[in-house]
Amino acid sequence: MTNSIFWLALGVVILVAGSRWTERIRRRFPISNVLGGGWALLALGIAVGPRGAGVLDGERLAQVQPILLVLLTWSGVVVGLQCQAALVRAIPIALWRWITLDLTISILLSVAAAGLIARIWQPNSPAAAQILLTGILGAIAIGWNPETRSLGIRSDAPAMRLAVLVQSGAGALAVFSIVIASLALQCAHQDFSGAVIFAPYGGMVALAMEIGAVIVVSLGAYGILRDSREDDARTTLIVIGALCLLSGIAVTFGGTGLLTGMLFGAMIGLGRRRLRGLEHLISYSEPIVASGCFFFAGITLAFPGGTAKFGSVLIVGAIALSLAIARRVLKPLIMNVALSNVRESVALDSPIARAPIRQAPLTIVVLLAFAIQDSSGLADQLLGLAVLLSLISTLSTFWPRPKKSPVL
Amino acid sequence: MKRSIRPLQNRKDRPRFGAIFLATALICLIGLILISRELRMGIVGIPQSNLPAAGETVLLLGVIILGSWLSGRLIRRVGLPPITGQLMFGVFIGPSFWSWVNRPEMTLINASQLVSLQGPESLAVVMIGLVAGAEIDWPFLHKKLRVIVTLALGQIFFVVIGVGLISFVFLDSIAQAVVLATIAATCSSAVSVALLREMRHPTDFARLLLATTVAKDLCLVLTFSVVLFFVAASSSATTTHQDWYRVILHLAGSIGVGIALAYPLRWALARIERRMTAVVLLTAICVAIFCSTIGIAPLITALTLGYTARNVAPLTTISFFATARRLFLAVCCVFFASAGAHLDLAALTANWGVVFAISAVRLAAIWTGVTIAARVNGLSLEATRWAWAGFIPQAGISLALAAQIAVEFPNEKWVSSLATIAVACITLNEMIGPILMRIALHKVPSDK
Repeated sequence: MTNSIFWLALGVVILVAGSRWTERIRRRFPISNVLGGGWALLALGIAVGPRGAGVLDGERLAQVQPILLVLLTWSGVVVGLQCQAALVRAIPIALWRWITLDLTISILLSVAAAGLIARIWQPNSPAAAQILLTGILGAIAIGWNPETRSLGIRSDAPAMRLAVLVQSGAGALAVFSIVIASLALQCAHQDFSGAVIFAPYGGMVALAMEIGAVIVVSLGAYGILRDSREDDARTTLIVIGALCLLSGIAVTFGGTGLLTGMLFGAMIGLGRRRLRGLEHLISYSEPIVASGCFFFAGITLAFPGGTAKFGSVLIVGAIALSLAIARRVLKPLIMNVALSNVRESVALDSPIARAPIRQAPLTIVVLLAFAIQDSSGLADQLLGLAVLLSLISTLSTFWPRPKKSPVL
Repeated sequence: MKRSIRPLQNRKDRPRFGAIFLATALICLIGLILISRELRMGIVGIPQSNLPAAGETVLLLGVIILGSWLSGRLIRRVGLPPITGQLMFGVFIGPSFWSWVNRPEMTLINASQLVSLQGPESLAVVMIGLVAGAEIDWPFLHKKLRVIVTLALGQIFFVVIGVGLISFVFLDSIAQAVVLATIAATCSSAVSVALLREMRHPTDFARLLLATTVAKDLCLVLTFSVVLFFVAASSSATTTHQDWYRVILHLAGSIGVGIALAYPLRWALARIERRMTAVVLLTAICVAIFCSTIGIAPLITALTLGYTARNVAPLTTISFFATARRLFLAVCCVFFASAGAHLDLAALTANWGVVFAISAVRLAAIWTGVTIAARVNGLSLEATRWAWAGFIPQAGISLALAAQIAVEFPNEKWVSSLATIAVACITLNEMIGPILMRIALHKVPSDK
């Protein structure tokens, strides 16, 4: 009976989340952009998960885990579909510079931060675990939140140009974030005893197999979807089938579906003919996928609890705060340096310029992917760290209060 | 003028995927799974996932969805209905076929893996119920009520008499013959609605077949319980049979819950404008879990819910049912491939003489009953000639009733042989039924 009540309650929550009332409230109060959306479902996930009321635990959790796998692959497809030849060609040099600079600095800082964090947080961790941690931190550090509307709407051309650069940069960096995290997860993983080992050969073989499977599935799906129209039943069927298949293949080779989904999306996106039916379906379902991922993140994440682990709580909080401060300082600096040549044509003084400070929501998905491979509990705590970091970095965009720039 | 014609010509000339493409894709799909599994076993040092069971479930679901769709498309090229291809794909990947040919190691889905697909299967049953219920509107039902009742009663009467007699000859027991005859009178709402949705513009004839099937199956579920009640009362052996009022409560409860759920659904749909796919899937999940928790029939509940919601608020539910129909193709692929994987070919071959005789009598009885009823009601010449073919398919409800025999009489010796014969007959009708029904739908012209 509890099972039914849980599902009915979840149904009501999702129905309310998609209703006109919620939409009106979201439009009226800007703060709901911080607290609304996926965060509400993350809170729900914490409340019903094994670390909350325990409604979704054990066997019930096992029943919904296939949905999590499909959601991860779906998230990968959403990222991969951005790799359209026309879009890639349209990226200006300034944005390439910004992407390269952000990527390089993020990776360099991740190497240093991983070493430091490993010494403070997990002092006895082996070298393989540090490689894994570097990859994960790199994936966390790279990129930013592509959403710009909540930061204030300015309709002048320089502000609009900056908004486009922010969104395009976030999309491109999401691809790198997934690649780095997936490579780290494939090469440094847990063996049968639970110890983290560095095994690049096995990881690369598995990766090669996944890529081979993705090529076969993508070619088949592309061949079938070429003739499909928007909202076609066939498109829905092929997308659901391909997502299930790719998720299953990824798990068979120890992966998570995030990379296979992204490669699938990229192959479809790079095809000669645009598959508008597929693009429509994917973009239409994006909020649902994001909400689902946040819900599962809520179920999975762990904060070190109890009075005995008060020190751990402090350490996690301090790490999150340090990373948020690093983002607050470095991300605007990187943007200013990278876009210095086009300073006149983009509004670097507009509120949109604060967008790169915020943590990318994809981080939650990447760590969720790590969590389903990790049995030590480290990933669950890292997920908790990422949630804290996302909240602090989002709040840090409001401080100090931006000067009011003239609206044209 | 030229500019408006050009795209159409291009679309027509565009190379569509043919039989070779479909066959290659199907072979690649199966090959991909086999190679993945072999390589996974053979290579050391590959990362391990924490969710192997969930991974296996989604992999099988992907294979079933894509494989059965490809098989359906492939079989359509030789003039057979896609359902037959989906069933055949299910048979091919299921454990029954490979055990039958003495190569159990070749099976793609073993019996324990089939159990993990129960969740998607029950979801598919609810979705089929919702779509089937929404296909029947009150004005149509009101107009055709007399025809529906006559068609249903006509075939029930002749099937029960005909199959009852032939079963008595083989089984030498009135009780067993009546049980088998009641099961033989059932049809498949799932096949009816799948073939109806396959048509671009469903005809009144197709909707008449569906409405009659639904009405007849509802009636027979109740009748079957009454039959089991009397068989249990006349039997000296211990049974687990429920009291008669519980049976009626079960059926009335299923219908009542379906009607009751329609009102909150209408209320919610009036306030929701986005994310309809999520709403449809969530409604189906909620109905499936709710039904299994309180022990009511999910198909009947979903049928009633679909019918009531569609007729109480036709405008509000347009988007909901349009989305449900869009998802229906995937649902059918899962449902019919799973049904194929569950088919018992060993039982069919072991009892082929009895099975063919009973199925032939059933076919003749349906033909007689339906043709007489159609003539009495003055249906068109083509409809009178072909209506019988719409009532041959059997699937979910029939199998559920057959399984019920073993549940009700766990200690009776005859149960095993009777259930085997019933399942074998259903298997045969499940394979030939969709083909005949599709011929009927094509032979009877549209109302215009």
